[in-house]
Amino acid sequence: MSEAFLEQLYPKLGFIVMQRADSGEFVLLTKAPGWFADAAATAAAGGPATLGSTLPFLEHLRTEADRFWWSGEDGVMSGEPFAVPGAAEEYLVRPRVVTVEGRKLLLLENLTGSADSRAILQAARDARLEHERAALRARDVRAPIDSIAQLASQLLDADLPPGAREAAQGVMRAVGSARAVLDRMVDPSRGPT
Amino acid sequence: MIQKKVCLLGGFAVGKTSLVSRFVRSIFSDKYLTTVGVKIDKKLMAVDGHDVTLVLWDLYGQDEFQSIQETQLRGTAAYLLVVDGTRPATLETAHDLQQRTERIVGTVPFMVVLNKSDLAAEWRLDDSAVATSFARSAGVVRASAKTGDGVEAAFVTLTRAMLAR
Repeated sequence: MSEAFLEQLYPKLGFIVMQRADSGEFVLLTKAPGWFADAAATAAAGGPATLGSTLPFLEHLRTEADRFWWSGEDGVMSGEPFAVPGAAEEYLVRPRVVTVEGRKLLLLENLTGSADSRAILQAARDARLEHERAALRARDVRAPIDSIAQLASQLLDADLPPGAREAAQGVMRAVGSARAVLDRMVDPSRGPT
Repeated sequence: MIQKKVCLLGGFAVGKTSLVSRFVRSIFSDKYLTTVGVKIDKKLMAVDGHDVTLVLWDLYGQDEFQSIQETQLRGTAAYLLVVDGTRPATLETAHDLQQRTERIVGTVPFMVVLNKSDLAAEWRLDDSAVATSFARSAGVVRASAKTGDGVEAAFVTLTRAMLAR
């Protein structure tokens, strides 16, 4: 396959391909798509405009990838996804470090919007956060309720006239109801009792 | 020029990304957007006559959905353990992360940041007890990514601890 063909193919697959130059800088081999140019421009705001210095994750990759590249063997190393700030949105890229016929290549795959894993994770954590807050609020309310229950229990242990005993028993029933409500706040799966 | 890698570690939604945003860009957003992937930022600081570039690694929150990887911690010169002062559970996560990080990178300096100090009415931590439980830390500070209180001080103290090694 010709280089010209690959230059057209990689962007269509969502990849940016860069080669590590002897100077240590990354040189773009494919035309940078809009999102990458956007991220680079955002990162470069107020700073020098080499790729490694404007996008710090590239600088890190150069260090990590060098360990692989200097082994001298052809192959592929996949890295953790990196979040890259852009002007309008944040981009998620997965790096792949490749050595082909001695050429040290870095492939960046744009994962932004390719899966809804972010939305799922966000929803799960939002729900978890809400649950944690409900549990903390329930704990705040449970403390005074426990004190009321203790007092009512002490009253019931005493020699009470019938009317007062009924009242204390009513307090204990109310305490039980309040505790059930709190339990459902913390764990809605318990359902109504 | 001295360059140091500093990781921000902590449970989810404790404010790691917000602390970096406040420290590097002086901005804050109330909207919670969970971090997917690793974010790397840089900040140049002048501390005690030294110019230091902090390479800040904002790692996603530790929980049952995502777990910090050893490769992300490699080369860390220091780390910030971020705790949400309104959520005691995040303190346990910080303890777990501290032990795990120490096993991987050794005894490098770390700071404990008790974030969200602006939410004083909802504060649920005993700061002195936290300090006792992290006796080997370079410090425990209250901070607020929202107001900026204590943020700069946390990074300066940590940088100073790094330079002192």
